[in-house]
Amino acid sequence: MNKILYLTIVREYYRQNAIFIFTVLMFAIGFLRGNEHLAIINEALRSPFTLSCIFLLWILYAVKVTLFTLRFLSQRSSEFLYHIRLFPPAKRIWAFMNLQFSLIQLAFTYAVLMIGKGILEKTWWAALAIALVNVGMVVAGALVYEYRIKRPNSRQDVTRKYLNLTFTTPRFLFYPRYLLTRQTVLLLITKSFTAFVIMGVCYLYPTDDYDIRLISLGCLLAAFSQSVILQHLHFFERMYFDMHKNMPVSSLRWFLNYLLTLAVILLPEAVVLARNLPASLSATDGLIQFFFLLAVTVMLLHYQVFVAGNNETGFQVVFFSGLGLAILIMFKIPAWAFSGVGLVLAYWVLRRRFYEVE
Amino acid sequence: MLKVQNFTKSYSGRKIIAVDELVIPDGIHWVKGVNGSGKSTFFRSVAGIVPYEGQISWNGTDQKTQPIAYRLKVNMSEAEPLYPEFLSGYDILSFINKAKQGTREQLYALAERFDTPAYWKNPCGTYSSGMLKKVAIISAFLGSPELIILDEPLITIDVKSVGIVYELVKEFYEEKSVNFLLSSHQDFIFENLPILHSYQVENQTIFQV
Repeated sequence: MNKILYLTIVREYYRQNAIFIFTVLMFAIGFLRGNEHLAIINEALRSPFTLSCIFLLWILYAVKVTLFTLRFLSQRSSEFLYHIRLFPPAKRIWAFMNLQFSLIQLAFTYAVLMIGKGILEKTWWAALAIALVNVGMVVAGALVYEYRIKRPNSRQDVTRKYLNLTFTTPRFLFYPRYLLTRQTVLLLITKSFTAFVIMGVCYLYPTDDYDIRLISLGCLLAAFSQSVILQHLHFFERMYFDMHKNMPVSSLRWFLNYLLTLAVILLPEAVVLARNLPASLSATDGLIQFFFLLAVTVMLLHYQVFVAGNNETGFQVVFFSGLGLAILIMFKIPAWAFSGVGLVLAYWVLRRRFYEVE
Repeated sequence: MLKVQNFTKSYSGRKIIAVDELVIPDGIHWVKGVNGSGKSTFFRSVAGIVPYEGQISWNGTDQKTQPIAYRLKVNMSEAEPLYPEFLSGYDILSFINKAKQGTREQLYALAERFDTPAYWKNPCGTYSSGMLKKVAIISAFLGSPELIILDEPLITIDVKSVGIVYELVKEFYEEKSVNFLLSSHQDFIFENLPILHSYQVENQTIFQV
């Protein structure tokens, strides 16, 4: 029974959530340093509030994996798993606990680290609470699955009403989800490159008499590096959502929708910029640079989607406009001015061309 | 009343369908035509999905000069809907319902009629073509439309769902005065639907039969 649950649910969970887990690990290992993890753990072991926040995150993760399993069990292809009910209850519950334990490994691994530190620091109550929360997540998950497996007809199943809450994906997250599930290689390559560029200019900045234009040039290169992602956005919209041109949605709302989509796509760049911003630059400088990155990307998107379309000469225009913008930066045109003009221009293009594209 | 004037739709310079003047009165209308005749292109133009030359208006609301008001009144369901496999039918319908200013109760009531709540929160990649089609048909009834275009509404769905489509069309027409443009290769059951006129799409134009 353990083997069949592992081969069906556990493997499928990790396959489908590889990017999510990779992103969490990237954040945990890439952006937080070892001593920062230790500081967080020490704080959590001493502060019940911080510890409760961590428990909340773990519980949310446990809910996520539990909902995944419930959804998996509701598929027609999973109907054979309901034969598990024929096994003795103790054996069944044990198998479900194993299943839940395999699924919450992301939280459990960190819990082990925290318990170890708690024992070393002699904060016994905190260590015990961490252990109990993890056991609780495993037992609760097993009981939910037990309840579910006894009710094969999902339409009569109250777990569907109370536990199978599916959050609606807002329109601006449709494309980021497409990138995460269907274009992961493109996303990883692009984000690695842009992170490298932004970190590069940030590290270079203090080494000589550079000014903010160096960071702007880095952001400009990062924005133009999104070209292929933007081209895919055009493909994605035409392939699946031509119908959305029948929606009574104003140009401004479409514009804000694309702006939000790109802000989400550019979140990794924002984090890298915030983490590596040279000490001599203020947070406002950082914000203006991110705003500039966002504005140039929005301009590019609107040009590629609403003007160039599938026209290959569009890429030449993109290339030369990038060069032109770089020259303007060198002439000390401020980034905020570019951003304002760029956003207005992008909106104007969308307003004029939105219904004309096919 | 749907008014089409000086209408031409071309792809890469090749004319697909053109009509100088066409007035379709209120009611349920059946648009016929062989595969590739331009029925769907005409429907997509009326729904405002593809650009064209000319003017299309619904009861005086012009599609090009009043894009939002027009789209609140004209809904469409495509013949072969295609949705990203990682999104759920619920994601798609929630967005369309919000855009069309429909209510949650309306969405759930329509979904219940087609039995979609049993699967609509699963990703579209797990749906059969009939399940996808039901999502598309539901989307056309959301909000407060005055004209609903159903392109091949009877294909890929089961007999029970065909009956529900007939019921819905009749109910929306009789109780809410909603007008319909329908296309189908199958004959509609006339005793079930009070079809006012039939139109033929042929020789790159559309005319009343």
